[in-house]
Amino acid sequence: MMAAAIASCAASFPQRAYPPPEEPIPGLLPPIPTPDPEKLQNVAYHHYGRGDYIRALGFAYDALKAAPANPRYPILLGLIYDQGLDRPDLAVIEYRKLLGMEPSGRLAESLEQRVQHLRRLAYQRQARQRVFETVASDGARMDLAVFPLEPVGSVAPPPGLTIALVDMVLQDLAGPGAGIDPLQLHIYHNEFARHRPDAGPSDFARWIRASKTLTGRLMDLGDHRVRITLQVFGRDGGLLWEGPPVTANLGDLQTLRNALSGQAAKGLNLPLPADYPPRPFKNPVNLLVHARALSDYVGGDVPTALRALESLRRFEPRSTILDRTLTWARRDMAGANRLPDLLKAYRSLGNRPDPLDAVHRRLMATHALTTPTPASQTGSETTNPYKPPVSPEALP
Amino acid sequence: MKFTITYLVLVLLAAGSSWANPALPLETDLDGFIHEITEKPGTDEIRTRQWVYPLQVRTPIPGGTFEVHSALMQAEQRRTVSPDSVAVIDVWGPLDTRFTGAWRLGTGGLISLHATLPTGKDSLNADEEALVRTIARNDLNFPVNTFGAGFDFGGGLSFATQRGHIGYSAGIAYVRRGEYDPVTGVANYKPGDEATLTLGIDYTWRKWVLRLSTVGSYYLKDRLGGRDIFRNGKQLMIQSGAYYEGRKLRLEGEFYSIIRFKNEQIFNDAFLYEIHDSNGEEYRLGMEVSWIPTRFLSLFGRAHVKHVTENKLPRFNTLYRGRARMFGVGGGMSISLNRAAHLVFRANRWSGHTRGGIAKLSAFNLKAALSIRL
Repeated sequence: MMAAAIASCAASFPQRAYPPPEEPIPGLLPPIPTPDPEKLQNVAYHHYGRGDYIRALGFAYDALKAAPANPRYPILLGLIYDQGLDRPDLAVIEYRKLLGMEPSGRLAESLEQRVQHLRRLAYQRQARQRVFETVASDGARMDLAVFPLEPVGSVAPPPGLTIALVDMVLQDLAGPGAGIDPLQLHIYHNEFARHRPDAGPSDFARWIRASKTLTGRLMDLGDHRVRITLQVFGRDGGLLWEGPPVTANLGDLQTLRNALSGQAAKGLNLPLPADYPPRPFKNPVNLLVHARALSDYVGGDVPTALRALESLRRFEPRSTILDRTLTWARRDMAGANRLPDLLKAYRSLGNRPDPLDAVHRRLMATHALTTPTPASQTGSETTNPYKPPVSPEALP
Repeated sequence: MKFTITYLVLVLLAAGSSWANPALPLETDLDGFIHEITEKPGTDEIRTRQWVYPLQVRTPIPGGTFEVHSALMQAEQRRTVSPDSVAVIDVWGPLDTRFTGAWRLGTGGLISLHATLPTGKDSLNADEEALVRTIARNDLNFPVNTFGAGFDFGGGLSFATQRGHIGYSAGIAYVRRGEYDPVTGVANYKPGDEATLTLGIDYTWRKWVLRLSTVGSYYLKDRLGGRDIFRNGKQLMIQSGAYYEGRKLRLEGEFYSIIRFKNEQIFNDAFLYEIHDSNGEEYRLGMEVSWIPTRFLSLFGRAHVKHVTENKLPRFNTLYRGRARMFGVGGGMSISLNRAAHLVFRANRWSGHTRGGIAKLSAFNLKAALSIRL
């Protein structure tokens, strides 16, 4: 009789809800995700393992949509883009989503390293694609670009100085919230120069199509003295602004940096930091060694750059520019080998609970103990025995 | 009469809400359970039975849920006075009516406020008082251990967070208890307010959860006619459990250790801790297996053990309570008739002893519940 009743229920109500669990506050149940994200994730991983990355992506995105707080799904998407589809630019987006979920220290470190490695690869790839494009693309329109200073005069300036001075200014302009990524800007001009070594700043400005391109002219006056004229080019390659010449001694880098940064901020109409950090380098030799290592790094020779930067670190323990470049190189070097770690983390995260479900469970357990449901409601003995005042010991 | 009024209020509330806003989902739970315990101290037999008919109405409110709950209880005790004679005490009446609102505070917070209207039966006569003393005994396991009380109100606040496999939580609650007349001749009794602090930690691995919670309860002084007369001993409860939650199979194992400290009482006009601890300690072990063969049916089986240690009072003292132990097994089913209607049936049976092994004990509990969303 009962079986027949149940069978008839099943036939007449195909979309059946589960019987309600005995929740302390039933009205506050979390929404039940439909369909099951864990199943979608399993299917996605199955396709990923078989090399069917497009299908894997579809299921992984569905899983992420069903459980956006689960850190396992962005990491799977990142792995599909990173290892499967060889799209470092898209993998970076997924890994950054995971970084936003504040993962544990070791996973966060692995992710940051991998992200740095992929950022460099992605920028290099984007720059190379643009170099070979016959028609300029508006897809990645930028507000700011930089190009090394153009040497003028009869004396050739020391190698690397043309980019070292621009980098110093860029570091000052790229403060928090400025939206300037020095790595991207250096990779773009480096790739352009590699493929079109004879092109000038105007050509670069037309190619990059940034709203403003910061560059200038550099004259070596001898005896460590230089004269620099900063320039800003527009998207069409025309000169938008030219500052007054700044003449300074390379031995006084702080004064030179302050003057150039002030000029650049004026030319680009950008705010300057209220306080300049300490002088970028102790002497011009270190400045040039750093510039050489920076060129190696943005050119893709990470081991050489890292060796040079590590050596320079001993002489420049407090240089913020060196810290920045050294961090890039260190993370990039380590990040190149972090894929197995991320795969391991993905598998390990599979043992973790969905954070929203786990918090809900813990919260309900605590609240049920803190404010117990009346026993007349549950029909079971309460866990918090109440001694009523009719108890003989409670009465006088 | 009180229950009738309460029942009518609930029904009117339900109906009124539905008419005012037909789209407002309203859940109504109609339950009924019986709990009967038979003690056999020697040749005597004392059978105490409790029938409870709860009714609750629940509706969503902005950011949370609101619930009204009340019940009617009948309690009966049959005591063998002689082989040919049985003394019967029969009491029935409404329980208090509780209004509860609960709201989520983001994903990791929960606040609830409640007020209990004194619609329950009070001013019990001597027979009724004797019966309530039985159902309130900690060495037995009656679900409801008193009829009415005063106007109580309070609230609780809980927070939880999750870091990887580990979840942490904390909760605080306070209940302000109101005055009432518990028994005839005892007026203006005000039970002590109650403050509770809960701390908990979970370790979750795949579908397994290991849980540890501690609950500390602190009671303020009971007063009679404005004079301090008693204070319940502080209580510490430690709950540990292991849970597995699959889509078809759910397992649950829980252990409770309830430690109750000394009460405080009046001795020669001084308010002092009792010399001997009159509160026994309590340990409970429970296991449950649930199987969900289809989306609309869940079957479950349960096993329980409860052990209460003897209190520290001398054996000749009338408040002496010997150790007690109960073993229980049971089971039931939960059926979804449709998305808006669920039925639950449950049956449990216990056996064991009380009064230090002198009195044999047997008990059963039957429950049926219907939950309907209007």
